[in-house]
Amino acid sequence: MTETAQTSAPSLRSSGAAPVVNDRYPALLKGVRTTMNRYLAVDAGPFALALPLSAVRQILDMGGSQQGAALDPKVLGVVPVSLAALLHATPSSSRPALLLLDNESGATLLSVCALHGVFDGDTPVALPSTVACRWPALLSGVVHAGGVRLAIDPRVLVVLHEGEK
Amino acid sequence: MTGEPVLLFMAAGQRFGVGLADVSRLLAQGPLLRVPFAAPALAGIMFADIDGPIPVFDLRALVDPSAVLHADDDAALTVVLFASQKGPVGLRLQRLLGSVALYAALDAAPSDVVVAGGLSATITGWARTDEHVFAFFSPDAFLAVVGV
Repeated sequence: MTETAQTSAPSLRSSGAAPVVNDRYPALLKGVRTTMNRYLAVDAGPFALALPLSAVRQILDMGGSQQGAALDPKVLGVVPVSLAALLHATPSSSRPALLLLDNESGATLLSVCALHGVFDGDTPVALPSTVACRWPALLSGVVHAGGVRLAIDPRVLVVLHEGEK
Repeated sequence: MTGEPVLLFMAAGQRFGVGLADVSRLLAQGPLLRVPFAAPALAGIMFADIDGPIPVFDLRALVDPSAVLHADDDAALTVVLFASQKGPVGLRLQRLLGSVALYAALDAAPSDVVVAGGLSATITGWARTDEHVFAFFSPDAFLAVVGV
């Protein structure tokens, strides 16, 4: 079978995320457009979040109850930014996971309270305008990625971080 | 002493009524997603299959800004869903009281009724049944109070 499903989701193009084509069952997908986004499911304090995987350059430390020694961020020469603290919440883990997040000016070392894995998810379901939030652009919507989670826009996250400096 | 049917409920210790025509749906509260930088009254987002993401508010935050709304996240509470001009609004109820069609509108709040905190800005009128006084709750006025 040489035929593959074609993808053309404008939302993916605009967000810069790489589309993932589910071609496991190509015969079933003949003529069907199936575009999935991939997300890294994370917890930051009380928030269940999903980061677009395309924005994550590297997972440096899985955190949690791993056997190995925790990665000392000092080795990297930068202080990690706590995602929970960035969102004005209290971190809920004594051993956070460490991510390298791509942004336009380089990369940001981000610590999150827990990693739950990588998940395929549809385009986020947009939140209604009645969600009273000071940074509405931060929230791309709701996705099913290891449970229902809030998809966040990493570009706005970087803006938030720059503003906190 | 009659009018359009009104749904009666308790929220933040206050007895409220809202026209049944303004009620989209009554839902059992499901898991709530906490929202970063949310207004204090926003308890979270509930994902209802048919309705999609719904903001669920709790009026207690207007009475007591330090109220911990998330302690009730697992409780079997009822959420009333309104279709406001700005979009869906879910309101977490302390108690659902039923509906009435027999009531008399009042010109103003009875002198013996004390409305706590910012609740007064969500009230558009008063009425009395045979047994109780209740306030008419306005979802749009509430959204204005929380800055939407």
